[in-house]
Amino acid sequence: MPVGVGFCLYIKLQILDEFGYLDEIYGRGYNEENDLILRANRCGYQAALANHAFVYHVGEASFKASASPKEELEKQNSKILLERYPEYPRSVAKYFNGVHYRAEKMLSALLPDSSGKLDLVFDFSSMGTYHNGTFAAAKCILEAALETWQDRFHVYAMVSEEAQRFHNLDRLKGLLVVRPDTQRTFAIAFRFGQPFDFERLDRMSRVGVLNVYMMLDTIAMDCLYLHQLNLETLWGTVFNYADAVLYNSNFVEEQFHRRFRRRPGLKEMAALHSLAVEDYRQTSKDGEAGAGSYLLVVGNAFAHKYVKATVDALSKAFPREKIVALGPKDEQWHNVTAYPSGNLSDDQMRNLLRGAKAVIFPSHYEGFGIPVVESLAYGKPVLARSIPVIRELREHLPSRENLILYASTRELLERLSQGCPTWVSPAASSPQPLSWKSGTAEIGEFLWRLLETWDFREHLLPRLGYMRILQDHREELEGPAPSAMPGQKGEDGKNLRKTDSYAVSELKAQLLDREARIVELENSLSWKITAPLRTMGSIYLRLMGK
Amino acid sequence: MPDLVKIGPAGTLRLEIDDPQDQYLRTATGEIRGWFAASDLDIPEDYWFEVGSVRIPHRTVRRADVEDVMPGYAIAGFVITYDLAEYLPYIDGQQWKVQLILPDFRPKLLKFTIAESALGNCLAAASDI
Repeated sequence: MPVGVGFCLYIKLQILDEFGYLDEIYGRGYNEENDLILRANRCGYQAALANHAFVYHVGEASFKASASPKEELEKQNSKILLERYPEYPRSVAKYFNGVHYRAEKMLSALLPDSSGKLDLVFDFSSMGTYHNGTFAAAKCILEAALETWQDRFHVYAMVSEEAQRFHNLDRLKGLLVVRPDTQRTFAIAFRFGQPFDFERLDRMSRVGVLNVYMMLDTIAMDCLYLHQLNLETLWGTVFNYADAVLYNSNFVEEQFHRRFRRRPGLKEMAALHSLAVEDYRQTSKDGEAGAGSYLLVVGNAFAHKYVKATVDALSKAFPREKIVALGPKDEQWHNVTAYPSGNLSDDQMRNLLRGAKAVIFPSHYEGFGIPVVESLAYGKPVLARSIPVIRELREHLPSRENLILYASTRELLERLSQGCPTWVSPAASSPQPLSWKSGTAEIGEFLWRLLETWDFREHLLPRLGYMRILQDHREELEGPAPSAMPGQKGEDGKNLRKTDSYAVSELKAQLLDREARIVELENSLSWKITAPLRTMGSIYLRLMGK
Repeated sequence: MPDLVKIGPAGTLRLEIDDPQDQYLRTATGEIRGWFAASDLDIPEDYWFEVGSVRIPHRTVRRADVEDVMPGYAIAGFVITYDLAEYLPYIDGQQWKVQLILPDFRPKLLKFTIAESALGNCLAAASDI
């Protein structure tokens, strides 16, 4: 620390012997202890905070009855201190802006309340006002956490007001809500989904003493057209500075391991989503296999979901078949009803499933594949592309007989040409599969255990230090700022950029050049010769009142 | 924004994008509003916006607010509806360059900068489970 507060200081005798006592120039008080510390500091000695000690101090008791008020003494003594030690204000400012101070301030979030519970926040700041599988799964984990983590954590959700309303988070009993601009600190910040921008990464670091991420997939890095932002830096920060990383399948874990170096000691867990069919049904009747009237093709508009190409092939191969597709925006096929993704509510989605005779899941890339489990829960046979994660899920699914894998669209068409598959009753009862509740309880245990091995110097300080570096380079990480700001015009009438590091450095170079030329001019002989003339000129102007 | 230059017989068409004024897209989906103004020629009814070979949907609207301050001019407003997820292959370095095509006029390139968070939301949607 730059200095300490004088009501309780432990000072070694050698220091007093060497550097003298509290200087009496400061009178009855204020800044005398700073003077002593800074005097010793000039020779390399520093004040240190004993943050495990507690001293009770009745503030300002000595000055209450004083004739000279505190403010006056402070003002008078500060002047003396600043004259002697001009480094004092900048050192104090540097300390308060520093990473160490910030880290220490965050530590209070690790103090449990009287019931031994800590505050944990789910970072739902990316949750939008539309439906998708990610938000639905996040909500299921949140609900299960409220049920299974209640002995250990007060569960908060950090979410916008609009998303909170849209996803009915108000109805979750026991949930505490904060907004994304919260200034609060929590023991653990848990983010469902990888961060895609600096703001999210920074927010997690700011609100959680411990940062835990659930990484869903690497698709945004693998498809070149999606690889838009500085994902290497953003996700690299997660693997090097987060306290733990969870994955929604072993496949996803492998994918990230191949792409990122992880810091030694990083805690990891493959935490699969629910495979229990009951979790996906609205009523027990939903599980009864029933006849449907159409083929339901599930996905979204992204290319890797392969809905459009699959629907196109199906429509041509089976022109009399009724097809419903989730994903494509426009209907360009005579026998297809298409619904753009994002607009269907959970109820509408369930109704679509109820009416299907089979579900087709043509995606080329998935981190998990919730629609497969959901369709099986509704007693619908599923034809899914044989990709690693679907094969992984198949091992754990109780009704795997009804999950038919295909290698290519051609193979899908061939399979369907033999007739639409019908529901096959599962051969034997399988062990109880992972549910939202049991899976989330395991995550809760994992999070609690993280606290046992957590270390201030090993985890929090390096993370905040690195985030400070990223903050300093935020402009490069975030990409271009607004190209123009309203009302801000340059001399040429063009809009000015909000920030432009190149322009700033160019301006600095010009200023330095100008200063150098002035110095050169002032040192020149002609300037010195003409000096009397300039003096006379300025006297004349003063006399004339100009 | 510089005027659109007519090919052939002289004439200029003023173009303004007034929302977002700084041409900075803060959301992954939304609308871009703007208008054309001309004093010496008719505003073509047939015009379109495209990226690569993909046309971006738009509609022509009346802009009474602009008509009020520019009497004597023919004014036509437009609203582009965008979903950045559909144009990701054409986005480069958070820049989205849209070509405005008006018959008889030189093509006009409109440059939009996309906020990192908006682009991030698009990419997050690709990770939907």
